[in-house]
Amino acid sequence: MKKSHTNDWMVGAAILATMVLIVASTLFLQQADLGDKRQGISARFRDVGNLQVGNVVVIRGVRSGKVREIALADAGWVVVEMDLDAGIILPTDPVVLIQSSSLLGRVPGARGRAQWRAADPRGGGAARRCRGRATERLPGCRAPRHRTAHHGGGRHRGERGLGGRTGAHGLRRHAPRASCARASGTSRH
Amino acid sequence: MIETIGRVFREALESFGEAGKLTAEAVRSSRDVKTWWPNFTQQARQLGVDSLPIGILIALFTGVVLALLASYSFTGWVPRYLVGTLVQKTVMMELAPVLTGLALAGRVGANIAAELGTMRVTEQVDALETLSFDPIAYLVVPRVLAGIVMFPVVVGVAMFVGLGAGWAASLFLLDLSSQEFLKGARFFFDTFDVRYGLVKSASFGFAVTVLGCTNGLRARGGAQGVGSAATSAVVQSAVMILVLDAFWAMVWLLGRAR
Repeated sequence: MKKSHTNDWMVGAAILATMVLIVASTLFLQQADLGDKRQGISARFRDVGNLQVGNVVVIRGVRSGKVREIALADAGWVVVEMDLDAGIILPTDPVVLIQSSSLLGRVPGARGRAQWRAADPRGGGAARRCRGRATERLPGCRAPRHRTAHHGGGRHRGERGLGGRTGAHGLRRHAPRASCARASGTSRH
Repeated sequence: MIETIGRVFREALESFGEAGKLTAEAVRSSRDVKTWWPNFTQQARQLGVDSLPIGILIALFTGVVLALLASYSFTGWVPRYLVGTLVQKTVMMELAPVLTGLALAGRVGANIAAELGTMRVTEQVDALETLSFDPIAYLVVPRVLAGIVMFPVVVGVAMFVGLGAGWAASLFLLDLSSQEFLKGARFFFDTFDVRYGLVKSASFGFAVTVLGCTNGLRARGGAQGVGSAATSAVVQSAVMILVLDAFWAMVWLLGRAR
């Protein structure tokens, strides 16, 4: 009887400890911030290429959030909802780029146009979503100075590349990142 | 010669057929909870908790070797933080489940086959039937369930240890900082990696225990029969682990790859 209790205890402890280990490791590797408020932003693109939900959002080379939702919108747009870490203050006119990270830092892909984003720099948690045709001035939003950011070639000054060599196609599926950078930065077209 | 090939092929097929039949019987007998539940934790301890040291040992060395191998391979243009990526992906998705599975196939599969084989040749299984015990519910169900539940536990610990060993090796044996290793490990990390490894290991646990039980209950003759049952169980379990590994890769990885 005593041995049975010992077995129960050992098995239960092993299962619980493993669950804790796995969950803790996963959260650590995901850099999850539990209970932290996140601020939402949304951006519209003509084509999101290989972008997937869960891909990281990088601001000037620093991992700062994740893609929460990708949805088709009207007038041929694709709306990408992103969650940014609390406390991040975006520049006045950021441009959102979708880039595939390779070992060299860029992989030619589908051209996307970052039409507009809306962000609450105070971290209110709610994203302002902008709708409308490409040619319209979007209500409640100021038009960015550079409205076009080319996929694959738009690495901005001051933004760190990954370095390394091209051709690591096995890593490409994980690679797309939504990247925010100043619109006033240098974007090559 | 031709006859031998035919016999070996037939026996292998018979074994897998009997494993399928035993699985169906085990599913039917699993309703008899009162019979198998008292044995479950004992089997879980024996198959899982007692196997943790071997799983940890394998993962420890695997993580170190992977980090060194990655560092050796990634020269020149390849950024060194990809050592972290390679260790994380390989340990979690492939090496922890497969190497631990193969080690447990030897330990657990042979243990089950020898135990049940001895019970069969000494007519203890027949005695259970005489006492109106369902031998499948009493002997097979707790072992199979323990395998399904405890293999992912051992593999989960092995994943953690393997990653930690790779990190430590990068830190102390290679000229790599913690930040670099973690950057690589985090950059391409997906929770799918963990799910994939754990589900795969549960299927390995199922295969190893079912094949161990099948070969054990098939044992005939004396000590020699028990020995060959244990050998067959280990060989078939190892083959089945590799087959299941390829199966999951084709079914799950291929579906996610674009």
